Amino acid sequence: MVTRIGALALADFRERRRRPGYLVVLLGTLALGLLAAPVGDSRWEVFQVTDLHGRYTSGYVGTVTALGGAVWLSLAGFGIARGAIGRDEQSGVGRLLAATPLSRVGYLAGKFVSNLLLFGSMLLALAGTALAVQLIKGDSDRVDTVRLLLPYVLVTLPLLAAVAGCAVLFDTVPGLRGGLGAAVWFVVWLVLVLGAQAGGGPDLLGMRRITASIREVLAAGGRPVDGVEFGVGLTADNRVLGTFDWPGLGPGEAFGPAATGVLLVGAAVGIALIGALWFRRFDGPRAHPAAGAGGAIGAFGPTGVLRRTWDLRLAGVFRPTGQDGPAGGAAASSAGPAGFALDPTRLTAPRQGRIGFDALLGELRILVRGQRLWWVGVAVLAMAAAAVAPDGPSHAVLPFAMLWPMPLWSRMGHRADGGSIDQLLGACPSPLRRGLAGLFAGILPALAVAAVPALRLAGAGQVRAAAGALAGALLIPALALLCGSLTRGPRMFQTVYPLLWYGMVNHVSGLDFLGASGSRAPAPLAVAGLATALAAAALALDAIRHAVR
Amino acid sequence: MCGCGPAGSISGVTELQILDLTKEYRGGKRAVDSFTLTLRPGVLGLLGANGAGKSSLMRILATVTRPTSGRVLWEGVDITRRPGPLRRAVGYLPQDFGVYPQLTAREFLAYLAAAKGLRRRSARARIEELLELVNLSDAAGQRLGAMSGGMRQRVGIAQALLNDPALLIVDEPTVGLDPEERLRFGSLLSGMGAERIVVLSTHIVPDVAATADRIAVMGGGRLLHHGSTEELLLSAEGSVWELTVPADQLPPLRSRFLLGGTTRTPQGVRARVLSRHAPAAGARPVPPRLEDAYLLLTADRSATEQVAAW
Ligand SMILES: Nc1ncnc2c1ncn2[C@@H]1O[C@H](COP(=O)(O)OP(=O)(O)O)[C@@H](O)[C@H]1O
Ligand SMILES: [Mg+2]
Repeated sequence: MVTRIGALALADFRERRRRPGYLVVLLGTLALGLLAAPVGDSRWEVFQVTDLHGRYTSGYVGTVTALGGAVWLSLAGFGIARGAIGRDEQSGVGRLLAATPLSRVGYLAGKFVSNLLLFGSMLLALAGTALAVQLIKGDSDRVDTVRLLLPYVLVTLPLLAAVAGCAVLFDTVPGLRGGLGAAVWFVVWLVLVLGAQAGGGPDLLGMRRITASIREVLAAGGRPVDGVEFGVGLTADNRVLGTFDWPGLGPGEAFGPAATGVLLVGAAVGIALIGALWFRRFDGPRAHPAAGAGGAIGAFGPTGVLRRTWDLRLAGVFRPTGQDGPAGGAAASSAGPAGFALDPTRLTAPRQGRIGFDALLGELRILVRGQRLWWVGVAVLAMAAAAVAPDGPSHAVLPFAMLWPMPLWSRMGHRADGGSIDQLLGACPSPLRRGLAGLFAGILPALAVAAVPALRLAGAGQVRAAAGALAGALLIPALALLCGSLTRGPRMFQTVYPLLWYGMVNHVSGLDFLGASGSRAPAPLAVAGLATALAAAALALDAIRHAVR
Repeated sequence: MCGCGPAGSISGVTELQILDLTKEYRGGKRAVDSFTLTLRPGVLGLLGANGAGKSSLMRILATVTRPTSGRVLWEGVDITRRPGPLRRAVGYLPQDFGVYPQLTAREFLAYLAAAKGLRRRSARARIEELLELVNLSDAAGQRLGAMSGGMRQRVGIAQALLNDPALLIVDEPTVGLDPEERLRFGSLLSGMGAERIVVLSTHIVPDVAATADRIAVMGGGRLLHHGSTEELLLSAEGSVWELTVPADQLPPLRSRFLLGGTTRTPQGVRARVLSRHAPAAGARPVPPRLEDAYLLLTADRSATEQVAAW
């Protein structure tokens, strides 16, 4: 059992390590490590202690990078850890596995361990960078491996184990697999991980022990400790006035964080495996209700014995008679006249036109994925927006309306759902025009949700804000297209957009892409220009890929 | 309905020239190796073992991948530099392809028709006819995700015919078709081959025997043989023998000769021996089948390879 889980996890990890998303997050992690001790005069900081920073000892650098890594990877890392089960389902690997005696718990455990390997590999790189940073900085050339690695072991690993468990859990809950899952996780992350630094919630980052230890050092150095505040997160700060010399957490101070860590790891295992209670299927060509008439249940049976029923549903000819599911057409195909009886040269002659509006509609249909209710949501949002009067340059419905198309946008720029559909599209003419059709298919939903708020803003005389709303409606699909084609997956956009959105609703002025803060917001023309640049970059990337195909 | 000519044939004879084509994948694997061949209307059967490079060649012909060197000319135009004309004329069925599981067969075909730039009204009528052709009219509203492999393969065939292709490239198309459908699909291809270029790859020899006018045999990325079906048969003339041996004599026979098949008879095992010379005194020559010719060709090659490796 253990070796089987190990083999599964290793294969899964290898597969993921070779995806572009992994590289993006890894580069982010390494950048974080370098910023932990700002190079030269740069003022970037990962760990803030009011207006002070520590001497770059092993312990300090280790702690700073470990905390930064925990915050960053619990958000961005979650994005790439997620989706492993969906991928097995899409690729058909799930069905191969279903034919083995692997149990459900074993399967989920394998995914969990694979997630741990994923995070572990990133942390290894981060710790290496931390060491390099300490040596480059040259504040202290005494390398203390224990104090360097202790915060990783005590804080980061347990927290990321819990994140790894949550990623497995989200994968087993059908509704949480897509964009909704990303939104839910963002909220969880805000509350738990950011909350942990504020000092209110559960101390998942071990901040109490760390800050207490630093306060002791400050007090011993005769500094006032009352007004000292701590924070983890990337900031640019010009106010660093002094340094302090903190050796880092020592083994003697490990007990408190270690207890939290053990609890977290226990919880992580539970979270990862609880899905086994309801997760049970790789049982059809796709797990879809329409296929379920004679559908198999429990491809991973409780005894681990395979019940391969999907094969029996293959080619209509083999369809058991008297079993009339919604897939009745299959039965008809064996009973009715056999295929290929017509002469294809006598069919309606197709007429060539240009790739245009039809292609746009086709792409839109793929983004909406047959979920007609999505348009109902647009209508509801439009009515709400019509009912609410704008408040100065901002319209209360607009930011929330801009969340509604997020699942659509995260499908842009890649064909994750379609598998190797690229093979079919690769032989179609005019890739650039089709790329543009894809872009406009993403802009259309944005305009659909932003139109009414923009009209109300314009009606209230807020012309600049109305233009800002429309510019924002161009920017996000362009961003989605770029993220999607860069990583060939939905996760980067699903990570970047919530951050951007969060900054926007909190009126971080540079991030106010909807222009809700009036004259403090970036100019609508600039936003639209940025949108054009992002879209052009995405299309250029496509063109390059096409040129070297 | 009308029997208008296929898309893309401008005037004169449609022609696809493959000139010294090579495809080397990253990592140095040479999947297509100095391949030269000119295709004219008719059905070309592309035969070769798994890994022979058939799919790689077809992907290049369909402009899905680029060749490492060499050229392909469609009506005289280089398809790597200007893929547009060929793409408007080609119908391509990849060996394995993805679909959007949430779309119905009809929606999926409409999507691809739009991607191929077909006008909506003509496309709509044609899609219904194609669904009937591949016998999916009743299942047209069913989601692709809920379809069996065989049904999906038929959707794939329908999409390859959407634009009434002047060049039809089908990679192992008979997977998932039942025996009767296979026969009919073969005659459909033959019918299309009257005016169009059809390239059909397979490693199942009988599929080709009934359908193809000409056969190209591929091995290790190279063109081992090209000619009419008769020519291929002729190449094996005098090299196929039948010999009946006791069952315990079979393993030694197998180790010395290439066998085209064995049948048990009351007198022992009747073996089909492929050899340039009479394998034994009692062997009698028999007329070759296409499989024999194919086996001989590919075996010759691996034999020379072994010699070269010495
Ligand atoms: N995308 C690819 N990258 C690297 N090697 C490939 C790729 N596709 C095919 N190959 C290799 O090229 C050779 C020919 O493969 P293929 O064209 O699929 O042959 P066939 O269709 O005749 O089975 C094989 O050895 C295969 O491993
Ligand atoms: Mg192949």
